[in-house]
Amino acid sequence: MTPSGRIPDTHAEAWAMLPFVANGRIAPEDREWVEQHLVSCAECRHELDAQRPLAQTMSASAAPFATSEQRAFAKLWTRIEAAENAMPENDAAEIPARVAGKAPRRTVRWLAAAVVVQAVGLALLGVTALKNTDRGGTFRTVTNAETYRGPGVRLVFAPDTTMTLVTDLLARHHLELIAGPGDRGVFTAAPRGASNADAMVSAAAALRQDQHVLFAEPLRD
Amino acid sequence: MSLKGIDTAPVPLAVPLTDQQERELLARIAERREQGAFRELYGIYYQRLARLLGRMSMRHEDVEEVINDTFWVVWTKAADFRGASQLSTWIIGIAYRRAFNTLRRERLRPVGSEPVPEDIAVPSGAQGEERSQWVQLGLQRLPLEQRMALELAYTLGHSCEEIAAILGCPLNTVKTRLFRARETLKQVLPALAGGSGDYA
Repeated sequence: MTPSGRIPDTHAEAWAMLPFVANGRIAPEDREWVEQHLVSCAECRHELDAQRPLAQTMSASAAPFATSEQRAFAKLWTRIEAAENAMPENDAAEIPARVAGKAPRRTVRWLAAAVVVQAVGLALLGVTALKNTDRGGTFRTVTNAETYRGPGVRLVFAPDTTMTLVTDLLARHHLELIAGPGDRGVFTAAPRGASNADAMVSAAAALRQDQHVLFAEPLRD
Repeated sequence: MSLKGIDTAPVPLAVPLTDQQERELLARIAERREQGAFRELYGIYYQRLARLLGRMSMRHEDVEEVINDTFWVVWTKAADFRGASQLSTWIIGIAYRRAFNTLRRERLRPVGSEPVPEDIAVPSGAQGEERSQWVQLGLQRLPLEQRMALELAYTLGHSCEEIAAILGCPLNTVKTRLFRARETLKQVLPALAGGSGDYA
């Protein structure tokens, strides 16, 4: 009998449950009636005989993934560290039950990074301001970028990243710096033309693949 | 287990930790932000997810990205896990949705978009690795949703209820997808239709 207590349309329902007989994960309340059906149904027994080796083959043939798990984890942990270091204080308070001193902090490294990226940022800010003046467009500065609510990406660059690399990298993704660096080395980049939040998710994912990008996350609404 | 001569013994699948043990790791992540617990949980799921995602026709770098995005969510949302399902269901569900979004965003060709060939002739003497390669070829002909249901059942050993939770669909949808997957495989891999262990 099924869990609801009704008598199942035995053959069709037993047939549908055979994969879970084959993998041993059939619910206890189903096992009894399915097995009873198997005793009298040669067609279902034949199907089970075919499914069990298929399950065995699929389980055994799933080859281990070639990429280094250790390297992948290191990459993720760097991203977590960067995010938590870049997180504004009010956001950091949202992390539940956070224990002081347990979360990763690499203050010295970030101070060094902040000095470099600040220099890059000042130079780019000057270039951006000049460009905006030339074309008479909307003038975005560090000050009014804080109130920017459009699509964009928050970024932290590796300490050895040069201005040229930053410019090229952002240009490849049709982005430009509109703010930064903050006191934790965080820049904000916005799309050069019309864009949307989905495009920024893709851009952030692509930027994270670059060795010069330590952190890239789309701006939250 | 044998019932009146019928072999119903399950295919053995490795289960590294119990759900309770995995929940204890998650609690250490949520409450104490322990990197060690996070690393251990990551290690438990890395190969498991990589195998599953690798079969969604994702590039290696995308697989790694989806796994890390998944564990980014685990790290940031650990305290939000309410325990309504198994932890593995929660984690694999996150990975599945992320992978699906990645595939859609990158407009990759869905696995099942190719026409199903008449059949794939499995050499009668094929054994072991060769057999599994033929099976892989057959699996590639399945639409993504059907293939994932089959992978979750046979490669990762999930129950019908767990697969429904991971895929975010009703139980009957899982059964239907598995039914169609089995039927398609029989068409493309005729040896399956012969049954009696001739398939693998």
